[in-house]
Amino acid sequence: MRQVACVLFVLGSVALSAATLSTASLVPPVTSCAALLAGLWIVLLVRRTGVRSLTSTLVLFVALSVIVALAGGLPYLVVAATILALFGWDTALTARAIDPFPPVDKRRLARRQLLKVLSLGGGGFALAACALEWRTRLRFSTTLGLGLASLVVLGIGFRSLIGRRGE
Amino acid sequence: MRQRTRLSVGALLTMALVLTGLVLRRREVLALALPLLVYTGALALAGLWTVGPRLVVSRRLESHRLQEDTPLQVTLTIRNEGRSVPFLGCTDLVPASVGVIDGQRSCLSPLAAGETASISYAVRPARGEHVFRCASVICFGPLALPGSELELPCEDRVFVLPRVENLEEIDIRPRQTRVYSGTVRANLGGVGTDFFGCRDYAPGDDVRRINWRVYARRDTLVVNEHEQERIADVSVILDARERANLRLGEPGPFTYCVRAAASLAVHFLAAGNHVGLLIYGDLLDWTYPGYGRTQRERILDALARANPVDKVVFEDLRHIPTRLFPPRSQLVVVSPLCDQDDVEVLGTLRARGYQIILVSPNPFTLALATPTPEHALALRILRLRRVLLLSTLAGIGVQVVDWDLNQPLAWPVAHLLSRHGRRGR
Repeated sequence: MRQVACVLFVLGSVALSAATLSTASLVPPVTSCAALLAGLWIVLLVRRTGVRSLTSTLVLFVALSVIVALAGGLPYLVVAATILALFGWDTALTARAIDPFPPVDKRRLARRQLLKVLSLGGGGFALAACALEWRTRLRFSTTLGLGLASLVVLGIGFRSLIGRRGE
Repeated sequence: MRQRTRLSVGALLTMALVLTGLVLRRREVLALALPLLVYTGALALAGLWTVGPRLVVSRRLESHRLQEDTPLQVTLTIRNEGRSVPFLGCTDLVPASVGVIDGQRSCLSPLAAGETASISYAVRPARGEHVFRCASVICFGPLALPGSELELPCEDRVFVLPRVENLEEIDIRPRQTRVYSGTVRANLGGVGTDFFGCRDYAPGDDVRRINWRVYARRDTLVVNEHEQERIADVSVILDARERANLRLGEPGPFTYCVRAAASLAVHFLAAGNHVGLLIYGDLLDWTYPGYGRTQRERILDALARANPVDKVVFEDLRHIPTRLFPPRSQLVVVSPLCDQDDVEVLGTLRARGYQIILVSPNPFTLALATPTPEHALALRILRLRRVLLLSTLAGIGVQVVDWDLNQPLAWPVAHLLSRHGRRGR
């Protein structure tokens, strides 16, 4: 499972680097940052470090993806990169969770994990592709509502994370 | 907990991307949030799917009381009384002091409604009391999405008694014995097996005990007497001071001390004696003297809980409470000894009329396999010091058993403490 997590994240980094091919000036910084994150990811997986380090790397990767998307990188590749990194992180967490179990049982779960990556990743990508293709205009009230709802969820998420650290 | 981490991180990232997209009015960023939204939504659904599974866990231990180094078979059964779980991971939380020697203490499999899964493994627990508290369960929803994580309580205790070695014969000669017949020679004439002496005939004496040869020679009636055999008061003292039990190797000398104390106490109890136990270290842990199997279990229980402790009050053996021991009885001290003060204390006890056997595990037989020249010199000095202390004790009438820990206790005991062994020397 760890190898799968590793491969997914590295593929994500490659996809993110490839997304910058449309704007030549972005290639060196983004590629080096992506390579750095991929290297860090491999080290974290090999050293079996905690969830917090893995999550921080994912957050950094998503931040880099946003920057690439804003700087005019190929949007489909940026989405694919984010999806790969997300499922790399998810697979790493699953690998940690099932560490104590016998290898035979782990293999069965790994197949399900692969199915999950394909179905949820594929679904997410399709949805993002639809969003990129269909241009819609949101009204001010809808945008405000969506923004406020996001803020509330963001607050709840932070509180839940901080609360758990205090436990 | 891991499911909550994923859910929180997924929700946070999604909302952060949505907000960034809305503020910057960039659909590329908003599109990035959608796969994260799908993932978070699927996680939330999986959480709902596996919420509150009705699982019943039970553990069966092969035995709740066993001897050191005996493997223990543990079987954990988990029954699903709710709806089926696509994947259920169950891990038995074994105490840290218990090592798994065979089998798996966890399983990961689908568990349909009404189905039962079981885990079977063997452990080899160390001496002491071990508590198996609960089993950790993680439920995976469809597509291996992690759902609820639970710790299901199922408490079980196992008590591991120290290893007891069979000792053949120990010849003790306390100055005072009890009135009941036993196996200890009491230095009193009467009914017994060993010849003790002769005395003039008194009316009422058994005619069969008259010594006819003396009568033929002197024309007076003399009867033979045999040495009475009675039971004795035996107090086993276990030295649990940390400074006396140097941590050399694993298991350290203290483990051997406990095994020796257990073997000796069990041996004296089997011979019908009145045996008590004092563990000298943390506090004065006194097991009141008694007879028989119940007393055996009491003593083994106390020894199973014994641990070396560093207490200033009990730094030397001066605070051994002699009033606990019957006067002129037999004391069996199990200690690696450490200095001249200990020798003085044992000398004082000897002067008060106690018969003392000192079983001293030699900690230096556990020393480093490849010592440096400095270590070798230090070990040599310590060994010489120990020989000096033990010879001083032997000089004041203490029966000393210098136990090489690479040998079973029965060997030096048979050689030094049995009647046959002493005759052979």
